[in-house]
Amino acid sequence: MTTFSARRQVVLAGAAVMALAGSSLGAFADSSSVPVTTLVATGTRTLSVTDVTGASIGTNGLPLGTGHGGAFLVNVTDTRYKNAGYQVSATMTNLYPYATNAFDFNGTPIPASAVSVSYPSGLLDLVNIKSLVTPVLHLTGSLNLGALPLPISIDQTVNGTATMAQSLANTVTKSTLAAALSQLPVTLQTGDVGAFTSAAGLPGEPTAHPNPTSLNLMSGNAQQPLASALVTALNTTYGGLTAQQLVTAGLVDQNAVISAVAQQAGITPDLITNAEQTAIMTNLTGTINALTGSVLGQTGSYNTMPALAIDVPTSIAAGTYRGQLVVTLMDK
Amino acid sequence: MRQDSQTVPVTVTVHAPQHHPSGHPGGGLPFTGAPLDVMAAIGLVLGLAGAAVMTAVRRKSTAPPTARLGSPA
Repeated sequence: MTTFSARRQVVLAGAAVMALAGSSLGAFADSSSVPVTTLVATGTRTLSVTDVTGASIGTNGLPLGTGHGGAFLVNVTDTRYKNAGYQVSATMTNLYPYATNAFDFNGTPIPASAVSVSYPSGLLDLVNIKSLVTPVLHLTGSLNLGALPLPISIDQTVNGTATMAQSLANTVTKSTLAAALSQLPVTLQTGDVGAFTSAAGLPGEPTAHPNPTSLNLMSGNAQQPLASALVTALNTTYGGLTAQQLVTAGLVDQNAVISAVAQQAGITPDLITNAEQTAIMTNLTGTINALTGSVLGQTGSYNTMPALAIDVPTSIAAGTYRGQLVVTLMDK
Repeated sequence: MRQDSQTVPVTVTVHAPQHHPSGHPGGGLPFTGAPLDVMAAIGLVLGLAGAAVMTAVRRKSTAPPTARLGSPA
């Protein structure tokens, strides 16, 4: 009767011989079910409209007219969000006389066409843009396994796990946008200028406004960022780390590393002892060779600073007027 | 398809056109804002100077013509 250890050594030796001889089991066929997990980026994409300091616009609203710049910040932030484009647009209502927290729809309004959008600050930037990608790792090293008399040299590629890669500076401004464009998972375009020719409706307004003017404030298209730049960025951070460090960093799964080594040794992973696993994780180092498939998603924020200007008709009576700017974010 | 929107109230205060009644500060007087006693003093000096000039002119105009011409007696 042979012990498990003796049997294992026989199997290892046999497997090694088979691996060296390049033989295969040929006609043998079997089937089994293997659970496969696929990462789907299910993060978040949020819209934020604030005053120019980033503070929320209070109940008094955004003041326009003499002495007021009418500028505001539009921010779209992705957190591991799927690789999709976006568009931020705005509509404007007429501005009605407003007192005691109520619109006077009987009064003569300032038409929405008196309000126009421009971008006097020229602010258009991206902050901390990272692409969610699956790296392909190249693992190399030398180690002893089982009864094999000589150390075997490991040279395997392994699919890693989804990882954030940042190849760009933390802030990309309008002046550096053109140079960075190819590395963006979602591009960035400035918006429209001009007046809100047709008004949108206010809640409770007796007049219907079925076709309001919608002005684009900012938009972006999904694209595949330059893979080589992302590979370089990943190697800058992770290149040369041990398999254990790569696992700790979340770049690769330990089972994938063990399986790759077992495959090269011609054995099944369950025949590798705990001590040998430790040796594998310590002795192998990895670099990032390439990326697998398409970019899965991205993290980062996109910002612009439009400004509203108003040209009040001379026929408008003195008083306080109020309307609503509705800013809408949509995927595209 | 994701869609999110944010409503921003927009306010405008329209002021009545400003009219400046005649004689009121801001109505175009050259000494806008000068104290009343200073303006009275300036008026008095101008009045006295004008009276002196008028007196001198009147005296000159009533003098004999020969004397005025300076011909030998």
